[in-house]
Amino acid sequence: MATLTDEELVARCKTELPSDTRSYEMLVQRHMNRVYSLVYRVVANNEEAEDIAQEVFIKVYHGLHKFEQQASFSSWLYRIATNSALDALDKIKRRPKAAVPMNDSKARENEEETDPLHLQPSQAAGPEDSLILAELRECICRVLKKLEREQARLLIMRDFDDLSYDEIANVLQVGMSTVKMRIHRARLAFQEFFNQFCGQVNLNFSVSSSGKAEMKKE
Amino acid sequence: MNCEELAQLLPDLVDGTLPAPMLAEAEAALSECPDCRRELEAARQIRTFLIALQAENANLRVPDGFEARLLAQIHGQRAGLELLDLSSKAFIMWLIELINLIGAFIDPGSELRASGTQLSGA
Repeated sequence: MATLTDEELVARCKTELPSDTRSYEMLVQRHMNRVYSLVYRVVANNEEAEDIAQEVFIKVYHGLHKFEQQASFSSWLYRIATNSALDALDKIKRRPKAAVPMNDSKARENEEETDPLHLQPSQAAGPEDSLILAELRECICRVLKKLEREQARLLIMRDFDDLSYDEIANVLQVGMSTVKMRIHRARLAFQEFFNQFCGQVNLNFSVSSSGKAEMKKE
Repeated sequence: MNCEELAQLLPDLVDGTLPAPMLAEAEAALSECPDCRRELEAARQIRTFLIALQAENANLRVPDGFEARLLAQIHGQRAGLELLDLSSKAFIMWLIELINLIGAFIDPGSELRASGTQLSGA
């Protein structure tokens, strides 16, 4: 049997649910990894990412009968996922700072409790220091919370999930040139908040052959 | 190409999606627009940074049992709703019976007169 498209599965769901969930299950299987991955990139925590991804698919289950397929199913799904992840960011009480501060100089030992949003740049961190990466992720979460919702959504779609401009225009139902300029503005706003909250960390990253992100030292 | 026109092309310059002839023109115009150069550099830096950072999660997979837990939640919700639906129906039936009983108590004759039109939940 030929593989059914998302749209065909959605049409089946509308007649089969709630008594028969097989078509819905196929949609879940097809998209669950990408949704989970997108959400994880925003919230940077496994348990939270799973809870949110489950919530996304439950919203889909309850919303499928109203979905009219004006946009593609995946556009609709990823819009729900992005919004759910950003909503969760507002609710999640961020975890405490990583055990090893980004600036581990002795001078910091006696430093008074600092603003948790203001992280200091690392001077001594090794390129594969996972703690620094973890702290960077926390910092990115804070920046996403500070951005306007629309800007955060655009950055997640384009630079976190690598959707094409065309796909984003489809999700948001706006023109391509509008999407491009909004994303450009969102990147500039991101940099401003990042510098403000995370210090002047060297943002020159590269991807090693092992797929790891490496921070280049200046 | 002036700065305003160049600014419109910055997203494509960041993403490397500008056609070759326009790219040459844009690059030439960049030397005349320091603000555009700063914006381009900043936007490029952020995109590279986020893409590289996210590349670490390129092969993320849902935890084991994700789908089973999801379906259990959905079936649990559905069973709860069905139970609620049954309870609602039972409550309405009981209410109708109660109204009929009160009506018969207040006006015993009405039960006989209205036997054809009496409220019935059946």
